[in-house]
Amino acid sequence: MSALRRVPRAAWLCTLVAVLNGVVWSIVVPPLQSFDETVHVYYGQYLAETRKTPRPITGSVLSDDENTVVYGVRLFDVVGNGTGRPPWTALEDAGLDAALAKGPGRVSEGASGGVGLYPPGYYALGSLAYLATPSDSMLDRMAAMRLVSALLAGLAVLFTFLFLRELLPRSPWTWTVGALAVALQPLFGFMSGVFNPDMGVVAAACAVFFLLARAFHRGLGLPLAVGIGLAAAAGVLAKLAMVGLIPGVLLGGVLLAARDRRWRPLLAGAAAFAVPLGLYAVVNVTRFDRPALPFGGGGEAGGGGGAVGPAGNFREMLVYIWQDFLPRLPFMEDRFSDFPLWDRWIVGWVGRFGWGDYGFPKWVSVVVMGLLVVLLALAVAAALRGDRPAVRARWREWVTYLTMAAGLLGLLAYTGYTYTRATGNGFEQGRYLLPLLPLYAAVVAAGVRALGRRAGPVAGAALVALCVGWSGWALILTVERFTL
Amino acid sequence: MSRTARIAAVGAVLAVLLVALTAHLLRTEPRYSGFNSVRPTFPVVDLAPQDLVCQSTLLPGDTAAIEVVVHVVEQPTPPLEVEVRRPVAEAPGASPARGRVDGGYGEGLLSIPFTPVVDASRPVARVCIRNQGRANVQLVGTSIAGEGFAVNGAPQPQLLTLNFRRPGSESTAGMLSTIAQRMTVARAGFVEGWTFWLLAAIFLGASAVAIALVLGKDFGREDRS
Repeated sequence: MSALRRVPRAAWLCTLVAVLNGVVWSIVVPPLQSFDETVHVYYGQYLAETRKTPRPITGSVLSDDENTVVYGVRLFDVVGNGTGRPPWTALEDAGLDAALAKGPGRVSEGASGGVGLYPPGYYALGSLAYLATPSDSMLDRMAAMRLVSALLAGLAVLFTFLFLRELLPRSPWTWTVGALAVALQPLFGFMSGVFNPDMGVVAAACAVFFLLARAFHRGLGLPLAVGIGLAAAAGVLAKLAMVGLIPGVLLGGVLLAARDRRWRPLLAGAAAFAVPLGLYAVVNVTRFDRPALPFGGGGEAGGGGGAVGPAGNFREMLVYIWQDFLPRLPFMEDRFSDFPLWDRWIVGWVGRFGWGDYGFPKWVSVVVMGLLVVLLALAVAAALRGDRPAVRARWREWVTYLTMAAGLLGLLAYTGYTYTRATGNGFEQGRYLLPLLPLYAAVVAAGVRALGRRAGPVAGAALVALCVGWSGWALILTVERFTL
Repeated sequence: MSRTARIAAVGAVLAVLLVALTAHLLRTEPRYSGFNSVRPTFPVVDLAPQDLVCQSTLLPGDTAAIEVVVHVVEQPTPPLEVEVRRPVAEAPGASPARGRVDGGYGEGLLSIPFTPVVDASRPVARVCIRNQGRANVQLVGTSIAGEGFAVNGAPQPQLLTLNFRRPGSESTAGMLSTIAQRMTVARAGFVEGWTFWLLAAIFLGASAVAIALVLGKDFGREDRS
């Protein structure tokens, strides 16, 4: 409790902003109108009703209950259709209510639906919300399940604030700017209002970034090491994409242990990471009737699942991974019809919503990335001209964060390769970058700090006001996409 | 720089945002009363002179025009006549709403106004469009198994993309209460007409908290300990 009392009031207020924002998004976005929400809701409902997870088998996926909603909201007439809208009339509303009142079945055959190998951590929280809903209407239960993401968004922002406190301990005002930049980031807001395990990974990743930064700052004690291990395990149990961060986390642990000449905490952290995953492997086999190690084909656990699929041609894979983030070199065959770094990752991260079928005009991405590049340049320049020995002394920390980022990007690119190879569909979406939000917050915070004691806070305050506008604009786009 | 500078900077940003929001809210244009949400995939009917295409559809209230997606195959494009009829069983003897658009329009969305305005939603209405000119014109929709679409009385497994327009032009601000109502449809039971306004208040409240945090008197202070 005393540790909680030491958390600054500003951190709680930033958390409140994130949670409230998530609650608003959860109602503004019509049911199921977000990336793959159909199958995530299916998983949550199936887990709640049967205490079991979907499996990689053939058979029915969505329950009749959920299918009634899918058709009632005209989901597949609206997705990707600029002149498609969910129902607007009381006639259709009454029709859907009447169909749900007939009590359609809530349990399907539990087939994969693309999530048959996904871990159950995030869905377990969703199933609790499902079961806690006083009404048995699927629409009410889906609304409750979405609130899990809003709460996780609050945790993510809280940990981001605390991460910045470790990173820039002498500039408390920058913690607020960075945390609010995350809380008001439109894609983060959108995802915090829908039911999607990405939010489990985001919250866990933010916790890991914070705990690692604390360990670099104050030494890797036993509680911190165990915390890092548990947070990393929680992330993996939410979604396998978390695996991308693990090499960096491991490297950080080793560097810390070597620096502090204390290896026992590292072993304890590794155990804290391994034990929950080991138990999960046992439960997978004994209760869920799934493989112990939940890795499947690229198509099986697509959507950023972090799955390992068929390897294919090694050179082809390297070329894909390269071009996923970097310009094509002359000797490479073209793997993409566009430039994925910009057209998919950045534009998607700046703001593509729904099932990726609407978002900001392209110039917004130019402005946002322009600002971020300037802030990054300012931060780097300040580090180079400032206290160089102090910056150099933290090299382990920088290497750890960069390895975490590179690990996630590498896993995403590899998953993209196997997924595209297996399904022929594009994979890259900006939301998969959300676990790196603490680094985005760090760029914002360090960038405004680099402007100096006088101009920095002014720029930081103006930036937060801009983020309010950015976030509000995304909400307006969403309201108009579905109700105007 | 002092807190005054921060207030000025935030005030300037918020003022720009407010101006943009106001301009957006005051923008006036024709608005929709509904969509049948059929994807405009490809031309599903080639209407020769005097051909008649009919389609059953849910017709939302406050509809004063039907909008179709046109694919031009001959110039000048022909005038089109529309007739909107309620089922005889539901409204025996009721006269249909009728309208017309002159020829010469181009490719894409085409609005065909009719009178009288449909005041309340009809679960089933019959929308018929006749080519009243001398050139062919194609209308866009998609292939779909089902009933309710016929060309010159012959049923076909297709549907037209139909959008429904409200009378006149309205500002975004003028549509807010309609938006609030639409947001209650096919949603959780607790979502009522007031929810939209509550959400707006929550967002503004959260934004106010964020702004207050960066305008506080201690914001910007460095820790020198």
